[in-house]
Amino acid sequence: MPPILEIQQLCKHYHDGDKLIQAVDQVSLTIEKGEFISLYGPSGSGKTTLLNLIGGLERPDSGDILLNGQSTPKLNTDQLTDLRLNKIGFIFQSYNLIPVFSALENVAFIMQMQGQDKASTLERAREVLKAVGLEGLENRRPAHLSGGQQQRVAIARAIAAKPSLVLADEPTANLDSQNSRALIELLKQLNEELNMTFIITSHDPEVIHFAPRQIQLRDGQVVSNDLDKDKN
Amino acid sequence: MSVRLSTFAWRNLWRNARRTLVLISVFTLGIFTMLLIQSFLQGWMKSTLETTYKNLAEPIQIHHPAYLDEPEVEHFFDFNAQLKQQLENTPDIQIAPRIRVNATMQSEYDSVSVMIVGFNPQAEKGLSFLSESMLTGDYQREAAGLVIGEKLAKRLTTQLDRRVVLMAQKNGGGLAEIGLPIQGLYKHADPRIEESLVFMPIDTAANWLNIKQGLHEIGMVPATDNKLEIQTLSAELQAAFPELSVQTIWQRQPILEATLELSENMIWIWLGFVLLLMMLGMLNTLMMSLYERQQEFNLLYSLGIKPLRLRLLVVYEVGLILLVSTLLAILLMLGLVAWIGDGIELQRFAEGAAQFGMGTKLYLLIDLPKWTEVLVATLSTTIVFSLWPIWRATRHNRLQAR
Repeated sequence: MPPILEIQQLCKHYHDGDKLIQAVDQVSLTIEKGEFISLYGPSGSGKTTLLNLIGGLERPDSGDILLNGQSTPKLNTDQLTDLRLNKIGFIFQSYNLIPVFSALENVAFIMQMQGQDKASTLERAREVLKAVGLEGLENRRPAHLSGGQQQRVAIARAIAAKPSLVLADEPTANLDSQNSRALIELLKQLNEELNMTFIITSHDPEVIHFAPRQIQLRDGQVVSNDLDKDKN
Repeated sequence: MSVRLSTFAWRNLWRNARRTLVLISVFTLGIFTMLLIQSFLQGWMKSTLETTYKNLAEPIQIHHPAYLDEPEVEHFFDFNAQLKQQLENTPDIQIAPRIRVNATMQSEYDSVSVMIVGFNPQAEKGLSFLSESMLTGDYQREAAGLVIGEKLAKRLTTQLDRRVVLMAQKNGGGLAEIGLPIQGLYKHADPRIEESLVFMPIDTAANWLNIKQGLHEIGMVPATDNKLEIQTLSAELQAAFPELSVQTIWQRQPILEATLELSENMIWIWLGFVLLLMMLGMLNTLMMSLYERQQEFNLLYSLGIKPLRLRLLVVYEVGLILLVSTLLAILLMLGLVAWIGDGIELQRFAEGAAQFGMGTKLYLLIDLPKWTEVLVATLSTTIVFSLWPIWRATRHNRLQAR
């Protein structure tokens, strides 16, 4: 079975005035379906840039990204947007829920944008919200949910459409340790139950070490790529 | 999907209710102002035309071909059976046959030049100003007598039931004189009319001027006020009676037409100005709103929503604001039209307005095609103007940075 994600010699640089910043430098990775990976490293190590490149939010200077065998840098902007809509789930640090939608509507929104019918998307959204422990809170808008609950809605939104890959950028950064622990356990549980691939960036050692596979970045390069045998 | 986007757009509007209400107020006021100007001008134009018609200048008039250039007594035409039948067979028209000649009117104190109008009181009823302008006496009496303006009576130092002498050229040559009593006085906003138009029964005029069966003018008012239909009817009559001159008011009074056309064009300059102010307000608010929402657009873009859909979302929002504003503006206009009712008579300015041939009644005319023009112009301009900031805020390269 081919890997779900293959990154080959990926490079991305930025200019900061006259200074050249090599945000991602010759990164090569292979990620199999169903993996649960933490991507860590100090600020400026290239975690978010790498996540943006994988998610098609930025284009690499060189190298290739193969998602399900398809080279994403070769896609045009509209095709990349479609790829994000249909194949990738995003979880953001600051939840980024749509404030005018209820929890249920937020979760159903992406599926409806995919063109699925309203009734089935709402049914699926209810199911997923139940799975993330938000049964009974479906009709609440984000402003009436706690930070932990909002992030659970964001998780539900990311997984509801059954994407191949879920990218989570510091999903626990705004949560207290208790909520943070509960959330990462939830992600792992979903990973196991749904056999969905998760890549999570974090600074939090508890989150980092919770993942069976940990990839460390420094100055845009992969400095360690460990598989924790005990947890896998 | 579009239902979903419209719901999204509607809810987005109320995230910043104050800003939305400001925008709705600006648009409501702008659209209301434009409809008001349009309705007022259409009402004024209609009032001007009606006033002109009532001043013996009907939409269609029939004359001897030489009469309008030389209004001499011998330039009459025969009101024969064929012409009578043609007019009787023309549906939905009112006609008024007239004899019109210049004459001198003399009292024991003074003499002045006047225009004699030999008229049929029954036919004239509701067509000319006379039926609505009588001060005293009766213009419908069959006995030979005159109806003159109050100002003319004052000038001649005469009054009701006093006799005056009229002198005019008669058909076939020579002077014709007639002495008749004044049997009615009328009042008119235009002093020139009040001092010059003298009405007498048409038979009396025909006998006096020796033009039996002859007419100088037939005024015609069709039921329609559609210019094209009036022109068509006029052309048909002209074709049927090529020996006569059948002309519309726009042919007889090109200045009136030019004035009305100019007014109609001026309205678009006004509307353009109001629209420009609205656009400035809208663009400013919309750009602020889009700037504040950049993060939201980035998020939606990250989630896989294409820029086209983001644009559609904001266009929906602008469209909903326009829809609400348009409905409110129309309601306000309908309320104002109902409140003003039949119109406000501007008596204070009547004399000045009448001298320029303008209507003296202020009323608002609900002209649906014109309203539609205004609304289509406003709505399409707003949407087109809003596209630029929307496009700028939702370009791919703007949306890249999450």
